[in-house]
Amino acid sequence: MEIKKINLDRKPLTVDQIKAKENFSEILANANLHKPGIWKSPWFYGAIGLSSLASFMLLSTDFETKKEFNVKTSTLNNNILQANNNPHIEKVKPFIGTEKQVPSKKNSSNNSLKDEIPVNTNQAATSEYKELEQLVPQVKKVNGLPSIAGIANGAIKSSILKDAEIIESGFDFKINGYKVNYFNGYKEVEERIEGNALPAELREKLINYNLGDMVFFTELRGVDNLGINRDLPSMNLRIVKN
Amino acid sequence: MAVNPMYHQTNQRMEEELSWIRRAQKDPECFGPLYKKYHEQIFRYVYQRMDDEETAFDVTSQVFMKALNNLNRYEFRGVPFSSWLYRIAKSELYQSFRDKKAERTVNIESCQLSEMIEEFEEDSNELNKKRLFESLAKLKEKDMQLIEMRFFEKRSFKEIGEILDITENNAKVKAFRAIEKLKELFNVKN
Repeated sequence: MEIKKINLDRKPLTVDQIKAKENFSEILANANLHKPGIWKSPWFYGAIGLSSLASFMLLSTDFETKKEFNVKTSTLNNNILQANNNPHIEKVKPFIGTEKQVPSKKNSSNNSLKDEIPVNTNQAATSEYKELEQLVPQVKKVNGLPSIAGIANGAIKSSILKDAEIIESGFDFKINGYKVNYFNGYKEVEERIEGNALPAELREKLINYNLGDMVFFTELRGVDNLGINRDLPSMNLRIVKN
Repeated sequence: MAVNPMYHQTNQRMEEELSWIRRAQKDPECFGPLYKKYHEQIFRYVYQRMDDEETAFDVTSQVFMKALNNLNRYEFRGVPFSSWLYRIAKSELYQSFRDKKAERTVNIESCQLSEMIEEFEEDSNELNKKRLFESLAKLKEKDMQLIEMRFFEKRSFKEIGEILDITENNAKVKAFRAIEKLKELFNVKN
């Protein structure tokens, strides 16, 4: 949005001039206060359509499950018949539809092992999982944000700040620069500091001139062990008395 | 002169206001007291940012119409009702600029100019006033709105935060950065 004009010392309107332009009746008349009928709402038609679709699906699946299984015309039995007519294929019993294929529990002790489907043992699964785990880099839990004596945001006692020499980081990298906004005794200043140190002069000014006020540590940057720079979250601290 | 000395209200006033809002949500005619309470504030906010008086009144009316239409969606968040109205006003204002019904204007007083120049630790002479004028014209909208609210309208950071829907701290940082940008522009001319 471009600023088109700057007016200097434009005569302001008085309270009476502004009040004279109040017209609540016009506001009430022009405001669109009538609620449309529910039949005009798109949600109404959406609900109708959705419920129709749901009913249709329910009815069609119910029909399918109740459909009788016609043994004589089933595709499976047709295939078995064709196979039986083929002299090269071993004869197969026709599928009746109710015969249980699962061996009964009564005879479980007599079941031969060769009938069981071989399953991978836990040991095999664990070793495969371990190989996969090695391929996926482990996400390490991070402990905390950039902080001064463990305080990332909120109130910090002046005595703690006085003894804090660096800005710490809970991540696997080191802070290599930041900006700090504070009042230096006669005006608000912004300083860019390289490294993670909190100079003694800075701490003194923060304590002497910013007690009870917010101090902002922004544009914190860190470098990890691969040499990659990272932007870190800001710290907003309020310096309080002991 | 502060535009809005009554922004920060006591709990009692906020409860009273909330009861008006609840009544107005059931019966739009009960919106009248809220309209009367905030009409002047919203108008001044709008008129501060445009040149034409009649257009400013029109936009103000649109703000209250929109507020009335959407009153059922209003949720009390522990801040004055006016902060919601200001957000609607900002939206209507920018819409009127986009629709070319009005031009973005900044209105300042000489005393405010002098205060800003003193903030920059420069002499408050005609040349510096002219430099500051030209620097203000080059500011981006997001910086200008902060300078307007903080330095011309004398709003508190809490109020600025509620109007812009940001935290008070963030409002302070943004205002500080806006003034630094203005200083940079001012000093480039030197």
